[in-house]
Amino acid sequence: MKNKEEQFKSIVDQNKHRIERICSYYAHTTEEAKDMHQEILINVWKSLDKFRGDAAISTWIYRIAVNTSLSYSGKTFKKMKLNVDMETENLSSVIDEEQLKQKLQEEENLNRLQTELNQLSVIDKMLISLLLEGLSMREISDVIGLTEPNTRVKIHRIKDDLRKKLKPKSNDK
Amino acid sequence: MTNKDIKIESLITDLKSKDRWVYNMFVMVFVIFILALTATSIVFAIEEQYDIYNTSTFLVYLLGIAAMGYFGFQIASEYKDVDYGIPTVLMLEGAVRRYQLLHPKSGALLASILFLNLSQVIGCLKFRNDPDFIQRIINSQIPLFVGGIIGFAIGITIWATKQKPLKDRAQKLLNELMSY
Repeated sequence: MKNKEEQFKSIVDQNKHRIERICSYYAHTTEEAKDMHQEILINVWKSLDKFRGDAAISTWIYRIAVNTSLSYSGKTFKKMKLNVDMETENLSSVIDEEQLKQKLQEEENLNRLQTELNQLSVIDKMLISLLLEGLSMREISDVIGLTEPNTRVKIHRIKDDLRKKLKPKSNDK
Repeated sequence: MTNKDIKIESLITDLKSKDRWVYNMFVMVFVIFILALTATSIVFAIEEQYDIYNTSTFLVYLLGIAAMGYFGFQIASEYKDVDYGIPTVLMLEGAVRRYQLLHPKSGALLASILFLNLSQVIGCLKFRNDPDFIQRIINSQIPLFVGGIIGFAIGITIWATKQKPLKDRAQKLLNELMSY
C-alpha cells in the first residue's frame, strides 16, 4: 500500500497541469473544477492497481480525465461548456492558422468560436479538448479507443462544421 | 485551482479507508459463504437418512448457496473492478453491460432463489403420499411467490430509476462515438 501511495503522489505531481487543463475545459467555476479534479484523482487511485504500463502514462491520465469528465458531465450535462481562451496553446489546430489569425484579431470572433464550441456535443467537445491539448491523432485514438482513421474522420468532420459556422456570411463582408 | 487546494494527504486517507471497506466486504462475503456451506454440510452430515430426497435437497441447496456466493462477489467486485484508465469506447461498453437489466449478477440471484426453492420442493417430495402433500407444496411456495413479486417490483423500480438512465446515456455517447 505504501508503494501505491508513493506512485499515486508521483503521478499526481507529474500530471497536475495536465489534469488542471482538462478540468478547466469543462468546469465553469473554480469550485466545479476543484470537484472534477478531485474526482479524477479518486479515479486515478481506483485504477492505479490495474495500470500495467501498456499505454504511456500521459495517455492513461488523459483516459481517466476524459472518462471522468464524461461521467461528471452527466451531472451538469446541459450546463457543460468547453472553455477556451486566448492562451490556449493549440487553438490553431482547431481551425486553420491563417484563418485563426484573422478570427482572433477581434475578441468578438473568439467569442463566436467559444459559442460554437459550446454547442458541440459532449463527444465532440471531448475530442476537441484532446486536440487543444496538442495530442496527435494516434494519441487521441489511443485515449478514446477508436482506430486512427476513424478518429481522423470524426475530427475532420467537427473542424469542417466549425469552419462553416465561423465562415463570414456574405452580408458581413 | 491547484493540487494544493485539494488536500492530497486527506484524500489518500479517505481512499485508503474506502479500499479497506471494500476489502472487509470481500472478507465478509467470503465468511458468510463458508459459514453457509459449513452449516448446510453439518445438517446433511447429521441427517440419519441418506435417501435420494435428502441428498438431492442438499446438492440443489449447495447450488443455491454457490449462486448466492457468486452474486455476493459480483456486488463486492463492482467497486474493485472499476477502471477509468481504459479507452473511452471500452469504458462506455462496460457501462452499458453493467447497467443492463439482465446482468450476470441478476441471473445469479435468480438462479440462487430458484435452486433454494427447488431444494425445498424436493424436500417435500418425501411426503408425496400424505393427504396434505399439495397443500405442503403450496405453503412452501407462498412466501417465495410474494417475496418474489415484491423483490421484482423493487428491483425493476431501482433499475428503471437509477441504472437505466445511466445505461441509456452511456449507449447514447457510445453511438455518437461510433458514428462516422
